[in-house]
Amino acid sequence: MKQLCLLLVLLLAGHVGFGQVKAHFPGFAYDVGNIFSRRIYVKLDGDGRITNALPPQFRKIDHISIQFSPNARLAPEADYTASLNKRLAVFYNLFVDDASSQKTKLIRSYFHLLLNAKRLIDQCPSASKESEIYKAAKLLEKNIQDNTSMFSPWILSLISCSEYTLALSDFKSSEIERRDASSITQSLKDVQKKREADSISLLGLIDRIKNLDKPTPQFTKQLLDSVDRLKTDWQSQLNIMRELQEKLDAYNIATGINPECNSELCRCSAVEAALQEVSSFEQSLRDVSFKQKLVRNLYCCDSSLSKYYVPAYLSSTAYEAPDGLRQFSGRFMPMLSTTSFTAAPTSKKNRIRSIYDADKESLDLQITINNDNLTKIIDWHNQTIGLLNRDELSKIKEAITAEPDAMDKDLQPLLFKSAQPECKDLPALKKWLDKLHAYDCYFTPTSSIGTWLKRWIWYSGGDIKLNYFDVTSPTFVDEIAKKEAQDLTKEKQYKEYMRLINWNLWFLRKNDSLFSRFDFYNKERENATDKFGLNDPGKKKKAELLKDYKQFTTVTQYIHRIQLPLSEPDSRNFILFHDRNHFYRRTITQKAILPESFKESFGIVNGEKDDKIAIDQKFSFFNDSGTFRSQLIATTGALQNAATGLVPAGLTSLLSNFFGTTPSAFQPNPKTFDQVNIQTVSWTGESGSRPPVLITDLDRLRNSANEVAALLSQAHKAEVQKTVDKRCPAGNAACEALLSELRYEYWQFLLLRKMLNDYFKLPTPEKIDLPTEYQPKDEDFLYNTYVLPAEDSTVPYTNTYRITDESSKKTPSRKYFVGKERIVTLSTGIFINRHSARQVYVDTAGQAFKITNKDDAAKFVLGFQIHPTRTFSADDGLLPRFLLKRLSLFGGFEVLNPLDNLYAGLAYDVVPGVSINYGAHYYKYDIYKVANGQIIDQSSKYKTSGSYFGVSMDPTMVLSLFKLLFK
Amino acid sequence: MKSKLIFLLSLTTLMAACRKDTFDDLSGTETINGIAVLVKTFDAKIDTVPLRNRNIYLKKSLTDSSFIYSVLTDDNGKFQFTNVSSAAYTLVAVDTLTSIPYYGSMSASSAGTSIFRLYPDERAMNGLILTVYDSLSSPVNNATIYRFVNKIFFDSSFAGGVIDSVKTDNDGRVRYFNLPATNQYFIGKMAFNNRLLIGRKTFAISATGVKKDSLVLRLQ
Repeated sequence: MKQLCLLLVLLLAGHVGFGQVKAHFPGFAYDVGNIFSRRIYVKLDGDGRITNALPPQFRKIDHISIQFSPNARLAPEADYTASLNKRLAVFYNLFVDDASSQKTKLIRSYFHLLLNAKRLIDQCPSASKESEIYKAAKLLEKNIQDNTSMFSPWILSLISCSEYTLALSDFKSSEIERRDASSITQSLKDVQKKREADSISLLGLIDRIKNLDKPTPQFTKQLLDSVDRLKTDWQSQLNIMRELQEKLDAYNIATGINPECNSELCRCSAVEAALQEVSSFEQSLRDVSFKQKLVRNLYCCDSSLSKYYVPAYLSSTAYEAPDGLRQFSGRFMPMLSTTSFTAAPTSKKNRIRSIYDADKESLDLQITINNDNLTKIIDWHNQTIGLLNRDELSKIKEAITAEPDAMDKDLQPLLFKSAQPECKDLPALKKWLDKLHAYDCYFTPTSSIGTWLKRWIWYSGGDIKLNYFDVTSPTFVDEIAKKEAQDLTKEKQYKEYMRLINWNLWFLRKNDSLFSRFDFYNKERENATDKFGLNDPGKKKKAELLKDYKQFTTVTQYIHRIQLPLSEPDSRNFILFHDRNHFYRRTITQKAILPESFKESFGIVNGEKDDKIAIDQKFSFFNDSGTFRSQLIATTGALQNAATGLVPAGLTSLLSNFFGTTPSAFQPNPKTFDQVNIQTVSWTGESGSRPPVLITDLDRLRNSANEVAALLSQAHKAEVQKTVDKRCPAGNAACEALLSELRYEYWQFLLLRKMLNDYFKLPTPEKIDLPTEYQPKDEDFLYNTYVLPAEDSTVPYTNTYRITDESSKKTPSRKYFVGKERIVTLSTGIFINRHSARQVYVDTAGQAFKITNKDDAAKFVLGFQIHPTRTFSADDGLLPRFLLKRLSLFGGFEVLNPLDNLYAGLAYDVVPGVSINYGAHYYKYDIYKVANGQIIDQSSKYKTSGSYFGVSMDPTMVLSLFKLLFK
Repeated sequence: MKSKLIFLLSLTTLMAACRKDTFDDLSGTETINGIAVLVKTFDAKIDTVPLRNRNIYLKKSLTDSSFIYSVLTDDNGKFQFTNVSSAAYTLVAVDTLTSIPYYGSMSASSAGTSIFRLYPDERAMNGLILTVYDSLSSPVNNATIYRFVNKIFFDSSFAGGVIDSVKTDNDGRVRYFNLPATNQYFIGKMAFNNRLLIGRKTFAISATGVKKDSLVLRLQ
């Protein structure tokens, strides 16, 4: 008794504690359906969507945890800001602090492209081998192989000698990595070969097992062991193959080699793309070099001003932020907005607001982000906009526009073509250089305009510009819209209009009538007028500009709002969450069988503001008697079949019913391996001897690539050192210097021209007003997680529902089941009292007494189970989801003599319909007063024999068994 | 309210537990086994015979005026009482064999099988066991004993007054049971070799009790 009590207490304690443990593992919490979660844990992906499964029931929330994923971007606007910050960081590194290392990486990538282009050209006979790119690449390849110091002037025109040296040594290491790929390929082939051999053995073994005639159990076991082991080996080989293949793919992607491109046609086609890519990268590389030079010039005399130049500092612009996990109490702090969160990926303040609504019994969790960088930039903008001298800028623009076209014609090849001009043409180029020097003043800090530019210039979106935001303020919107309207002339309108109508008419030509065509013309005219803004051409443009302005100047982003109903013990909300991000996939993967006391609702996770959700619900009957009960009855049928002679089939069916699947040990399924079409049997051992393990050196194979790489890396260090020691070549220094200067001056001129054109095309906002604090609405948030109530029906029922969103995408239909909860159930079974309970029966019919003693411990008992927490038969697992619902009070009596034996105690449903019982046994005891051979007095009383235990079942199940036995 | 209810329930349970049973006669788990026999002590040779198909009565004590219940013996005299307690009981049985009432009582318990003996019950009968001797105190067998109840007839040896006449057994004894509780007159005669031995004696017979006495025959 004591042990039982202890077990019961442990079970109850475990039950309570279980839910708390589960709460830490939100993906698993719904297994314990009657346990409320007092914690809400939310994990957000980079866009602000919830990625974890929320528990279906919440009580008073007392703990909130929000985790941001690393590299979170959180929103398109944030993405823009993140990119900006990243570029700002690169900008800062390139030009101010650590230019060399950043630039070396860029050059290394360039070398990769160059070398790949050369390799492709080598494999394409028709490609030109006279191009500068090919020559440069060939020289680069030679330098790598020979470790010489002959440098290409082509490359040196882009970068300096020292930069080249550093980048070349770095590049060599990657080349060694590239060579490792061949060893990986070999390993891959080895494993594939082993795998084939294993497949043959495995198939042979399975085939052998299938054809065995009455094997001994021991032999069968040995065979199955062999199969298991081979299967394990086979699977491990597959994993290794995947791993090696992934590594090889990664190399191929990194080096730009497509292993499937083996034909000459394919490779020649790739040459063009590779050359284009190299050219594009050359432009980028040169651009970066010039930007570097520009910034150095700007800072040459006043380094203290650098802080004005780069509004975001390195420490705060790190793109990759660590995981951020914020935890705080949720219930008793109605407003948590004062808590700021410093581990944000893109800004320094994430604002998390939790509103606990006591009246509505709901939780309102709002996650917003304050973009601190943008705030700083806007603040800086507002402070410095007053210094802008538009007239001065206008004059500069006019001067630049007046420059002759010949300048571009002569100088553009310097920047945009690979061919090097001859040094004999230098005098002509020098004239242009002198002219371009006139614009240096705008970038010279000592001049007034240079100082102004230094404070005003921005690096945004990869460009140096005067308008950081690429937008204009509402002040200028009307003016721009008017200009837009002027540009859209009547002629243009007419062309657009006719084009649209003709396009649409094409669809009507077959079955058209004059009337319908006329009608169509009228309709389309109206449509076209609206579509192209013909009535008010500036209206559309104005709207676009205002939208951009709002988008780019939004400091606070409303990321996610989570509104959940909370449960009370007497009102349990059960939420079936569906993730909109995964096609409304339900987060509860298990069969959702719920008791009728739950209030079901549909939770939509990661809903977006324009969603229109419709949920179709259809109700049908649900057999909530539990799987075991119905299977037992079904099994009796299987047993009857077994009794008719089909013993193996019946037994298999029986086992299948009990265990869910046919025991596979007796019938291995060869379909698992049908991918391998080899039928040869390679193993002939009859006595069960195990074939040799086919893969014993997998680990060695796995590690071989790493070992080789480590050895090569050591060798590489020496090579690098040698290369670095080489001296840079001497060339025509005067010519190279002039070309270099000219390139930069021309680039600077182009930059100035572009900045001014862009500025006047879209005037810079005068002042940007930061929005004031306000209570956000649902539609302000990027994502909303909310709950829709489900309809009710007559219990028990199955609700087959389907979620449809506005795009008419129908999700697969899903179900949940609602079963009855019962307070009283019937139960019958065998009960055994542990101590003697002798009952005396006296028959006085004859001459003498006939005394009968009855003291059977086991009795057939019928009784009632009273479930204080209402039993839930549909919870039919051996491991209960609702433990308390399995416990009940039992009161019963012996079936044959109902008043003679009574039972009262506790019952626990092992599965619904089958209980184990424990309690106190009472029996009726007759007392006789006898005198002179006659019973002169008689009375009865109930005595307890002590405890009993028993096993009871639902009477319907017992009847089913009886039917089977007595048929 | 709740505490009152608990108190009431506790009180009820306590009272129920304190209640003592007043009787419980068939509640025992023991069994008394035995074989009942009649011991014929009045015969020349003491003999036993099974008490067949007679009731054995179970009593709590010998002094009880009533018995509890009884069982019948079988043809071998076996009997069994079930559902008795381990306490000592008293078994009682009576029988009448050849007009001699037999009676037996014994303490019995459940240990083993007991022999339950019934003896002639002198409290329920009277009798006279008369041993006939000669003058040399030797038993006289085959002598004829005449019984008279009338003294006149006895004195006159009137043959018509003889109630019965019996012969002595080999041990010289005659047995009379259930005689009227008055004076009984006996004349013994034995003739051999033309000689006659005669003896006369008067006995006062009480209502109960078996009297043992002698009668001497003397030569006439």
